[in-house]
Amino acid sequence: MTDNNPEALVNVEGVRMHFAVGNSLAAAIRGKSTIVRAIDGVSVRLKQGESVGLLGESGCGKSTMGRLLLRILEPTDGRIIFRGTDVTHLKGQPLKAFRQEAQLIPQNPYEALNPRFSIGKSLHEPLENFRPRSTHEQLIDKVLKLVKLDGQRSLLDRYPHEVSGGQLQRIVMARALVLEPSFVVADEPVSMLDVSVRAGVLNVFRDVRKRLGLTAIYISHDLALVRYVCERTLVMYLGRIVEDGPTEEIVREPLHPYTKALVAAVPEPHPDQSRAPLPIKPGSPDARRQPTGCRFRDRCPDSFDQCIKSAPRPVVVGNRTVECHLFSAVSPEA
Amino acid sequence: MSGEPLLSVSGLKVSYGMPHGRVTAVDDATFEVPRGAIVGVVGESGCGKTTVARALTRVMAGNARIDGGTARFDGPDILALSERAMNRLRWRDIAFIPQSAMNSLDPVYTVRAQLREVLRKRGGHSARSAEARAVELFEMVGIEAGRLSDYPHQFSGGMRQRAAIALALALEPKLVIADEPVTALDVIVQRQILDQLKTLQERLGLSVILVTHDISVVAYVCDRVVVMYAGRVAESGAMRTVLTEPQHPYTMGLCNAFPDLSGAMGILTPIEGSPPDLSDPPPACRFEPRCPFSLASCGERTPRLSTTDVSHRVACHRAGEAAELRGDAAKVETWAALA
Repeated sequence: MTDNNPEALVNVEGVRMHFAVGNSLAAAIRGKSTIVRAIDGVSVRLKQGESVGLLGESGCGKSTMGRLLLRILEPTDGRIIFRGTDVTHLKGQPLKAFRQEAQLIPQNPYEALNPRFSIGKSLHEPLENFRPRSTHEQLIDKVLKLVKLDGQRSLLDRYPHEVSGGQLQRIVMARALVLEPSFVVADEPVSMLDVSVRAGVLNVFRDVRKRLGLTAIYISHDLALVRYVCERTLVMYLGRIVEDGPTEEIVREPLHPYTKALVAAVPEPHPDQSRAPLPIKPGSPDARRQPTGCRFRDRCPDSFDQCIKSAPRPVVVGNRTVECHLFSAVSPEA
Repeated sequence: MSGEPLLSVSGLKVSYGMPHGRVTAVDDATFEVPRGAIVGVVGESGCGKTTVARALTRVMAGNARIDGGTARFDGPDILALSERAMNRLRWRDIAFIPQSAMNSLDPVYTVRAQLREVLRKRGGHSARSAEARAVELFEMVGIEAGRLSDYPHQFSGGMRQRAAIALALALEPKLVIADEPVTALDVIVQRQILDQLKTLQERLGLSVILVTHDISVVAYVCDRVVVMYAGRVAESGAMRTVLTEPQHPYTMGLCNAFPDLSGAMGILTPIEGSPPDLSDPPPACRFEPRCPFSLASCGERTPRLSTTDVSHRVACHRAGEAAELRGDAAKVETWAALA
């Protein structure tokens, strides 16, 4: 099972992740279990060293996608190839090896570390499992320097509640990087932080990624943050990627109607900004009740007959891939 | 937006009893809420913005105490009112939307029951008029009246927030205090809720205090802004003036620390360090340890909020040089020197 494209670090092929919800025994007997299609057919290639934003609203499946990429979850269907190896259903020793390559930077730094472990112990723990003892101090020094906490070795003796949020998120980042992974998934890493320290953490993330040539996924609902750290953006809606392309192009001229709404909704920190109504109908995506045809059609301001009849397929438009009938071979007039 | 302000807060001081003694969370807060204006109170966690909001409704944690100041609301000082008199103002004149809408709605009652309770017990509505008003309120905030029979958990986050707004507006108060009303929401829902709040505020001529950590929320809906840092007001004034010509280095830092979509992709300038521990705050200016422009005097004398121009007040010894400092504040090196 090898991949013949050496450029792709991660290759996702037709991945689906379906969860059964509200399944009591009684419901199962009556055959009334509900299936939530959290990820519903995602295929994407991540190039070595690429930084990719995964953008969407809550419930769109972006965090589930992150967990699938890290093999924290096993998909219902499809495969994930990492550096030519199928990691979809890895178990045991090979999974342990993969864990050193692919790491998560979680959303909430306050919950990410064991409160009873000193910060030094939290940083040592992955090393205890995977690296010879003689290298530990050197690796820790290296990673502290990377997240700009060198010169603050006294932090190692403190506990998570004794350090500030900005420092804590850098420590969480350091823990994810201490094994020198080649792939990281950052799940809204600054959303819990104070505004004045966010910029610092984003700068560290940007810098580390470039310096190590890491391949990174940055999950967020805020395109302004994604723009700051990612050259490419994947827009997710109800478990599918509806637009994929260079971030700057997406910011300048979004193609998919959903992306248009996301771009228009980003609040700007200065008084002169558009206050025009958003080009989207009210409502929120619900993976349990998906419309037939295009899954965005009930909120889409541009939907037409074809959107009820069939689900759009991905179409290549310049540097981008868009999943919308407006760009399909079928013209709106047909 | 003319004439006497609806609310004038002056010298408000609030402390919390802690195991090691009292910690002053809000110190000498002074600001005004003009009639028919949305005033943003912006700052980071621990800056005292929620404490200000809570003190003005006089619904506070058990260990909180108002140590001083006045808050004149349409005449009387609400901080001096008896609990009974204050209770008459709640819902009818001053309504509160708490941080998480889920917390303002009781999970074991339908939304209708909660609206009716406020309408009947507080507003003296009959059963029939309460029902009619509940339907009207739901239409006003854009939820189908059919959903009145739902329980809060059956609502999405955005709908809960709309329901909390409906509840706050039930008795047509003069002032709505909203604590981070859109913080937990996605950008699209956030924008829709802010649009709704702004429309209703204009239509009903409400005054709103909007507590937020997000300067872009302020930029989007507020008429005025109060910037708080470590329990004190750093700067206040008309939103446009404060955001485009900030005079306090902290405000300058905040304005440069946010990524946006329209600007050129420069590097963000973080404010190094973190807010002080309020049980042991810096002796004079509280921003001094993080301020790239601090002078020796900043560690010795506490800057007071200027009184010369009430339309733009600032508490900084170097406010007079703000125009020159703004240029340096936009540079990463300026702040990095303190790292």
